[in-house]
Amino acid sequence: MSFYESVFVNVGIMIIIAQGVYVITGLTGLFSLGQSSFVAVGAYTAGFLATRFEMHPLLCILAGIVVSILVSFIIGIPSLRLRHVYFSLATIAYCYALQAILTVSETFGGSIGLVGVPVVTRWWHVVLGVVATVWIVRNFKLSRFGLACLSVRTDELAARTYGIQTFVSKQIAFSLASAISGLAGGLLAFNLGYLSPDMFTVPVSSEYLIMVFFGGLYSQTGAVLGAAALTVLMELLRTTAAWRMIAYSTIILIIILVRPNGLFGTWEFSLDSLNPRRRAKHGLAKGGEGV
Amino acid sequence: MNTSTDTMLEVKDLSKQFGGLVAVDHMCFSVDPQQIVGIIGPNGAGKTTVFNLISGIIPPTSGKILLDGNCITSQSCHQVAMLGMRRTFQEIHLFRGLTVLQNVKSAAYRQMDYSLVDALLWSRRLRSEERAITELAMELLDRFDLAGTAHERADSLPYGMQKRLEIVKAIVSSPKVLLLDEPAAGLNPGETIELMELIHKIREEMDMTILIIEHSMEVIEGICDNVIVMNFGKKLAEGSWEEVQTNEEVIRCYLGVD
Ligand SMILES: Nc1ncnc2c1ncn2[C@@H]1O[C@H](COP(=O)(O)OP(=O)(O)OP(=O)(O)O)[C@@H](O)[C@H]1O
Ligand SMILES: [Mg+2]
Repeated sequence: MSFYESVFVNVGIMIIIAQGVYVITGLTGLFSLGQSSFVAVGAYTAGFLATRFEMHPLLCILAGIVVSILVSFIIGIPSLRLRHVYFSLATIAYCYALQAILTVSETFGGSIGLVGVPVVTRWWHVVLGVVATVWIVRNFKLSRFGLACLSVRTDELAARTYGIQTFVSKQIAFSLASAISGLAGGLLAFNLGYLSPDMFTVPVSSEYLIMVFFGGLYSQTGAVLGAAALTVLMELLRTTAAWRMIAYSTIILIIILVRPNGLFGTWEFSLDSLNPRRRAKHGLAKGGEGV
Repeated sequence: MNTSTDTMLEVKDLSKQFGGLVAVDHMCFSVDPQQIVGIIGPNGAGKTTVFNLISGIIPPTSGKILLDGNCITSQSCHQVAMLGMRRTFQEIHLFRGLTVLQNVKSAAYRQMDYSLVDALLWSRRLRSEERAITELAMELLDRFDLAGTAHERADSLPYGMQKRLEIVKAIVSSPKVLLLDEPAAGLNPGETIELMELIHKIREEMDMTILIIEHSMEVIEGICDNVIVMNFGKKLAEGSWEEVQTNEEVIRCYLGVD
């Protein structure tokens, strides 16, 4: 695989991850600092099945998604009842817990990690994953379930008076976000060929959040482009070695200071927005949903 | 007397204590279908608390609430909503940042029942249900003079329109019982008259039972079939506006202050 292809694959995986973060944080307003755990669950499940049972990569990735959903369901039951910063603290807690489990577990290679996963992810796999994810998230967002998430984010009490079950809405969004993270994890496993617990830490989760903030927390378009831009930026700065993190942080700080709502704010790209008559017909928002 | 069919809402011996404060004290009343009942009383009398209890936002300390024969006393807010109750709040609770149309559609969440799979795959079923709800929402917005604002952000509307939008959101799923908490507060005289016409229209055209908390006696006199007066959590008087208006205790505790 060429250098460019590997950058491309990286960007694609990051876009997928950012879509998950967008669903849980942008749409639903829950600040998850544990999204990397679900990437880890997807990656380790896929990697484990591939190395131990030599299953077909596609099956491994699907299994990763399913396990990710199951885990999110179980974790969601206690943590989604928490509000605001308490939820974030819970996500940090399970992120550390999962890391600890992976580090001590011999089945998953302990702190050395899981090695020998076949490197088979190609650029078109990632393109397929990105297109499917973006499409599904867009559908979710425009459906009644997405609208329920937006209502819950904006005014939970009012949402309940319209018969919206806030816990269920959060659980659905959380599971969808985890499924997406699981998919990204699977692709990651077959891209890198090895996995280790320190690839899925809380700081890594924060980087995901930064990508989405950078593009505009309330814009799906922003999440896609924010993730792409920052991942490419990171690759470009690779040559500057030690200066890399400083340059990266400076650029992010400047953008956030100049545009507090992220590059795209609440703006959404849509084919309909090119044609005002269709937009009115479908009742799509002028500025998308906002802050 | 206690048959459920001819009473839409029945409140029996309802009490709510906040620590040492008895906010609602053994309230009893019942509301017939399609009645408009006003609840009045001085600030802090416990009117809003009665609404919070009826709509399931907070549980009562004791007592019983029946909605169209169903006991809703210990039900949560969304369960009560699903049985056909909607309310507005004293202070505006719109989904800020969402458009007017999105606001109405999210209030109609329960009117749609396509599945999550339909949603993720943008199925034909979803499209037809969404289209129907959008049409319903636009029709309602049109009837209440908000159609032109459908794609504006809800919080960018003038105050009077925001209050009207709250009511449109509350009636979009044709509830059996509608609770309005001070709908006329902050409206100018012209808007107040429009509001009274709107409430009449809702009752006539949509067969709704309406409870309304108001400090504007003009509204109470103009639209209520029956008035309940509250003071210190207790029911002070009940009857038609003519009866209540001349009740000496009511004049002493509430009306005299005006
Ligand atoms: N959640 C709560 N916790 C503690 N006390 C409360 C709570 N809600 C209301 N109260 C108290 O209960 C009493 C009744 O309040 P309520 O809001 O029902 O009055 P109200 O009749 O609606 O008054 P207003 O006309 O000013 O709206 C007040 O003394 C209020 O401070
Ligand atoms: Mg009140």
